[in-house]
Amino acid sequence: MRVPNLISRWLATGMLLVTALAVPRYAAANHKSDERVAFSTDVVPVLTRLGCNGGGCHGKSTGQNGFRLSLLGYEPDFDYESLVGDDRGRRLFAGVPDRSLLLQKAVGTVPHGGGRRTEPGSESYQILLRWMQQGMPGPRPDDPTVESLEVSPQRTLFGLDQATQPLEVFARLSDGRVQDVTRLAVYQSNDPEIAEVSEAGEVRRQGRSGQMAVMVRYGDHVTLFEGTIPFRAPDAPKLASLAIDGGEETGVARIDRLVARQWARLGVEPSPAASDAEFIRRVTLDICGTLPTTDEVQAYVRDSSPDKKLRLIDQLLTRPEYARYFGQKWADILQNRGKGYSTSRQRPGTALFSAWIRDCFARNLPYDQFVTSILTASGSQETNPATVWYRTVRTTENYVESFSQAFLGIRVQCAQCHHHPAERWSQADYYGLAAVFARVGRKGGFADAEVPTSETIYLADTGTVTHPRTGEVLAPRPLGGEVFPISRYVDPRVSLARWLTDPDNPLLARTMANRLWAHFLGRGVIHPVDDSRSTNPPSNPDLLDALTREFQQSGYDIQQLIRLICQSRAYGLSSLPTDGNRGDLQSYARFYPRRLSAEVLLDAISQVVEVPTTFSAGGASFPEGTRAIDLPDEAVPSHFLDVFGRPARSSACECERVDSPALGQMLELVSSAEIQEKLADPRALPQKLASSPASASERVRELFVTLFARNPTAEELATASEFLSGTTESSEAYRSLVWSLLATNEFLFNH
Amino acid sequence: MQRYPSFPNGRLTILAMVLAAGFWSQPGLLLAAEPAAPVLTTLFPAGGQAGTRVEVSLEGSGIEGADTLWTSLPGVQSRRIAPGRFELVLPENALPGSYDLRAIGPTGITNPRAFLVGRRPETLEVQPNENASQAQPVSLETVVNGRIEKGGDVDCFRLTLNAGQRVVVEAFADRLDAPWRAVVEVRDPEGRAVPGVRVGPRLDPLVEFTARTSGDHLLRVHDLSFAGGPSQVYRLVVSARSPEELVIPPVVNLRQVTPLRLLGGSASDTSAGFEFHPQHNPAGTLGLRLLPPQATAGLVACRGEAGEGPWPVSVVDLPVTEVGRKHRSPREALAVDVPGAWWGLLPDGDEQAWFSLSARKGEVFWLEAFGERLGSPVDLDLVVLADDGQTELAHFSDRVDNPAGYRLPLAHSDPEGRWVAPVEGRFFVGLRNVVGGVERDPRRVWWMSIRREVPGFDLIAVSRRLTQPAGLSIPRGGREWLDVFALRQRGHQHPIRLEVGGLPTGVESHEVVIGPGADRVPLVLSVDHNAPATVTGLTIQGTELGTTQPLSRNVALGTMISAGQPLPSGRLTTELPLVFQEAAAMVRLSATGSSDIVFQEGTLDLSVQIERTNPRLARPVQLSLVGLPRGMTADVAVIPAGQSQGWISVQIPPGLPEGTYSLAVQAETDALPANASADAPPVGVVAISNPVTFRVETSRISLGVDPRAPVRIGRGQVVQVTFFAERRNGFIGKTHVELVAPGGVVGLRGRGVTLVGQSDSGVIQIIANEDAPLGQQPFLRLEAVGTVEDRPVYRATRPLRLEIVE
Repeated sequence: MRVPNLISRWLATGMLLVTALAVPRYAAANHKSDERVAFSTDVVPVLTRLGCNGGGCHGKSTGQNGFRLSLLGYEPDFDYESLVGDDRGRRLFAGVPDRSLLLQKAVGTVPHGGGRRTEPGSESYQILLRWMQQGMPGPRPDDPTVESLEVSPQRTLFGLDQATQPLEVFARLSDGRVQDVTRLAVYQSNDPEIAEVSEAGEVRRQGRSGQMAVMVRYGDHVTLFEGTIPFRAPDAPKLASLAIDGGEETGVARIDRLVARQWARLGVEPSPAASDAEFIRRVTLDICGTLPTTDEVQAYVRDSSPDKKLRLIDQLLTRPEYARYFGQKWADILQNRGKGYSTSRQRPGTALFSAWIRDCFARNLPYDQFVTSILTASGSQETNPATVWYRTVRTTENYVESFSQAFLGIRVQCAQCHHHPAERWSQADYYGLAAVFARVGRKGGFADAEVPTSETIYLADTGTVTHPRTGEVLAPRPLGGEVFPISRYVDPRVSLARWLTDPDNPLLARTMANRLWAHFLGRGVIHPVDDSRSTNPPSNPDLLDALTREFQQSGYDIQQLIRLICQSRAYGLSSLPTDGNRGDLQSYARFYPRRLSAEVLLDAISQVVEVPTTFSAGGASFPEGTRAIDLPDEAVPSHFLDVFGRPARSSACECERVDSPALGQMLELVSSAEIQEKLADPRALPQKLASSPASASERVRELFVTLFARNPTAEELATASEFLSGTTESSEAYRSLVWSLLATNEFLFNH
Repeated sequence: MQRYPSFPNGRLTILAMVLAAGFWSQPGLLLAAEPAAPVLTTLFPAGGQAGTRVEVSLEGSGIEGADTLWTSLPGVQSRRIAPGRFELVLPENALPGSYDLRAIGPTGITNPRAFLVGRRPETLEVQPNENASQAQPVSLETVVNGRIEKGGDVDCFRLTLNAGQRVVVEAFADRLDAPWRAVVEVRDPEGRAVPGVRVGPRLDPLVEFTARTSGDHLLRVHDLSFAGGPSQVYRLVVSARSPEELVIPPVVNLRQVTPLRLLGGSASDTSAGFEFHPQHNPAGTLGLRLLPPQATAGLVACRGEAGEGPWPVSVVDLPVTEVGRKHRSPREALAVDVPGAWWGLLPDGDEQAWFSLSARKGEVFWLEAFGERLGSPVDLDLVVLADDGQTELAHFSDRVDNPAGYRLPLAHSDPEGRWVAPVEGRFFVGLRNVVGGVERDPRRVWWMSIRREVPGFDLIAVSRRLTQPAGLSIPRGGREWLDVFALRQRGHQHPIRLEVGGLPTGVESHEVVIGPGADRVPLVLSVDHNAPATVTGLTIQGTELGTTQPLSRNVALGTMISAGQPLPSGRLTTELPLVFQEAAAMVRLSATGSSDIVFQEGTLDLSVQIERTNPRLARPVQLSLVGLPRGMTADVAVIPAGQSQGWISVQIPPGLPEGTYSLAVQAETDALPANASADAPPVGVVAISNPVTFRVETSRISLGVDPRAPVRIGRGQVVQVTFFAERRNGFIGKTHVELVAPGGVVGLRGRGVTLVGQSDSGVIQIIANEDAPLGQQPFLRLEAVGTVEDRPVYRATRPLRLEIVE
């Protein structure tokens, strides 16, 4: 039969691959006693292995107890001077090396704040000892350097009974040698709940199933091992069928197939599809930040046409709430801050930028153009509101970090002070990117707040950035890219925008695709969405590639990408876990429920209670009916929004928006005067229900549909009816009932 | 020793030096604030259709008794119909444009507010119109006058359209001098926001769209920050036509007939052309609303054949050439001959225009570009490169000088500067827009001139009040002044004399001179006690001195729009009406200079006489000087209560250019109004003296005091002060140094020293009397007097800080 043949061929290929990777390809290249110990490739990795140059010890910028090393050994010359030259060489004793302070502290024979780091006789100990015996040679220009680091195997699909997977690590040196550095490398698991890794490089599975990665470090190089621990045995037939490339297959089908392939690989079963009522509530909240009305729910449920899902999505994308909700999401990322600008004189800036972002989403401005407009923004906030991005983003660090995090999904902060410990970014990369913004000129404006506002952004004639360590003036260049060939009369930001939106550069599209996937599915393929790095791999690289390709091919059409995601099978699954996917948090085998964001929740309460929230700030009152998702910035006072995690917009990180539960939130739901006032308002739903001529059960049904987009169960109906009939004051009874339902997870969560 | 007469009581009346004062006097330290001038804050509606009657309401402060309107629109009739309400009859042939309207009452004349005249029918907003269900119906080719009454107010209008209909909805708010930022939103029949919003002229929004579906479209108007208030007036123009924002070419030769085209609001179309004709296009800017920096752009108002417009166009005496868009790099530079003016467009964000010119070594050029001052959305930079196309020789950017401060923002982003060719050869001049970004904008028009160093100047006058907009109102028997600023170009340094035209009976204008290189002077007008009531429009002209063919310029007029803004806010006006206040002046001030000629490093003493019309309250009077050239300071003096004479002095710095200058003394005190009871609180009074004009001549003596000289002297004690008196500039005569003070030195005696021959230093011995007044004597100084044939001719002074202690 064809399929089994395919399966066996695929499995055979896989086994061969695993076998090949598992077998050490290089003979171990351990040191012999007469072999020269090189400082950069032998000594420094030992210091890294022992944790001496870690950020919590001597590797921090101020060092520890007077002894400072470069973080993780990125500057061997500096480390050599520290070890050999500083403090008159007291740390090393060439005459009697084993009496050296360095070794005595490492093995704990003299007091050491960092404790005992190794044993006498260990390989690490021996390398340091031999290095001293050889006269403590420093780094030499002809020393070999590590060219690459490889781990074997690179990835493993754990068998159901497989508990461990030993790793071997090899360093390829510039002199052609391949060195087994397994015992000198450092290992770190990204998800210890799935698998831990020992100091010796043995990966050991833990309680949960899923995907995990181990970062392997040797010297200034890192590499990655990826492990998959399936829930059950991989669904071989399904996997085989899905493994076939879909050829010309595009769109939703391709996305569904790639997600399903992951399910099959992990042996996880998807939950059944969500009901129509669940889906319309979910998708309306996700696209418009708004609850569907009872009529909308009922109409959708009644609709039996096959394309009703797509029509619903299309209709939601044309609603003003879509632009407002996504405008607010992007105002967070673009740090459209009101704090410090909250006087009436300063609010125009945030209002203009907020409206500009909203308009971009309303007219579905292609994402590449949207980003380009922001990056290259010039002029005044009045004539070009995108310049307001530069109001908050105004320092070297802001430029580099906000840009990288918002548009590339990269956290490059570490490289400001030292080589990024988990990525390839160096200080030169960091300040090369900073040089792109060095000629962002500012003029005009006024400054009666924490920073000037209403400035004009222009291309300044001069402006340079120097490398903080070498003092070299750096030419503008993108992260990992070539120097921009530009003249002094050309804005380097334009070159950056062109690099960013180049069809051959997938970074921008990939970041946005991942961000939107995370928005709708609750978790990015790369998670967190703004921490993309080689040591944080995507959980489903093919899925992310497919999303990226679709987005680029659509011309960076955001609405098209939303249509694609919202029509996907994964998005339409029930949020209820099944036995086949319980514990899954990565493969989208069910919809991951999440609490409504602060603004959406407040608006939802206002909507169902039918009493709008009144907002005022800076001496101005927002018109009645203004929703929380309409607010121009985070500084419009609202205790409710603050308690429920409204972000401060102090960085481009989406992580600022806190949606985890907190005691304060529960207290707010229980004791909020604002909610009580809404419930007690004569216009409010409880009063309407209390005075409705409908029967009690009909009223309870109406209430459930309004709040949960579903009818009550028989038990719920009975309980509610019993409660209502047990009280004499009808309005009060309905207030209590509404209040209690507002505090349920079913209302508070998108599910 | 005492060369100055003493006052009757024999004591110096200037008591204290309080603060260093510059051109703008410090607020009264002892005194109540000056009463506010009448201010017009709100005019509603702020416009009307030509040939119709319009009822307007006025709001503000000090205008309760206003009974007359002054407008710059010719032929308007107005009558008061109720307090704060007037009826205007707009002439049928009134030309569209922005005009000034002011209120006149017993307290004087107000600042202007913009009043727009158009040709479309107009309606008023009808409340309630806060939401879609209350939306007021409007139709195409109409104007709605409304206002955002309170915070959170949203005005809604309903416009019924057919699919495919093209519509432009344009709000006027900033252009009405209204202190708010208007937002216009359009929603289609399905409730979706209609794209197409952009910032139109100035900061006012404009939405240009084509209806996708037939039905009712909702227009929403609100404040950007949802603030509100009675002064937040607007005009909403609903039309099928895009407003034309710019005219091209933006510059014409004053002797040539030039075909003009209008750049449409969509910035992609140009409308039918018309001509600028030197004979048919009168000079002047009536109907245009211009910002202060535009005073230096040589703009006139040009109109189409049917009177539409107006649009601003610069008029120059240079040959004007259009520059195509192919000269984008030094390699493609357009070879030009100097002098000349060139204009073009920079639609692309990174577009540049390059010129090449040949020059001899040492040849001087003045380069100036115009963009922002034309209303074009650009921020221009100019660079000069060497023949290699790489080496930057000069770079010109913004004109940041803002002599009038927050009252009248004169700074702008257009570049200008002087460049001297370092060698003989070819050079490149590059023009670029530094705020281009990546967006394309066809409205980015510019013009540029390159000339020899032919000096020129512009002048602009503004109310002297720093914190509020004001008109020119003068109490009978009093004085008032305007501050006039010189905006010098191309190295202009000559003194400029100002003359006022159109003065009514009983009003005197004192001749004043803006000194060489200086940029300011107070223009003082004095009114007789018995001047007949009148409202007169004045003109001011400035003429340079010291040249064989003196240039003359009419003084442009500026007004603050509103106080308290975070950013400067002002505009130009076209007329300067003068009104007498009903109340008489409470204080009148006269000043006399100690000499018509003052030497650099010398001191000008001004004797001040104050006349209080209300003798019941004789409070101290604080004196300061206004009109000092920038960089010069003078101490403040005080005339004690009950006295009417005093002194104030100013040291002339060594670097002040030789020439004629004017300044005046400002007095601040408080007084009781004539009809007030004795226990009523006094009101602040600010008065100015007649201007004092004097000539500064080159220093012949440089006087210095040993920095180690004592700064204290005890009563009955003797101190010695070593000084240096260096003769210079050909003077070799005898020099006599002595201790002086205006009004005489009190309590101290200094033994004068005469230097002859080669000696240029000496020691002056100072003795303090046993009853010498404690403290520091103001304006005490050493004075060196150089004699020629035994006549005192040259003088130099050096302040002496010497405190008398027990």
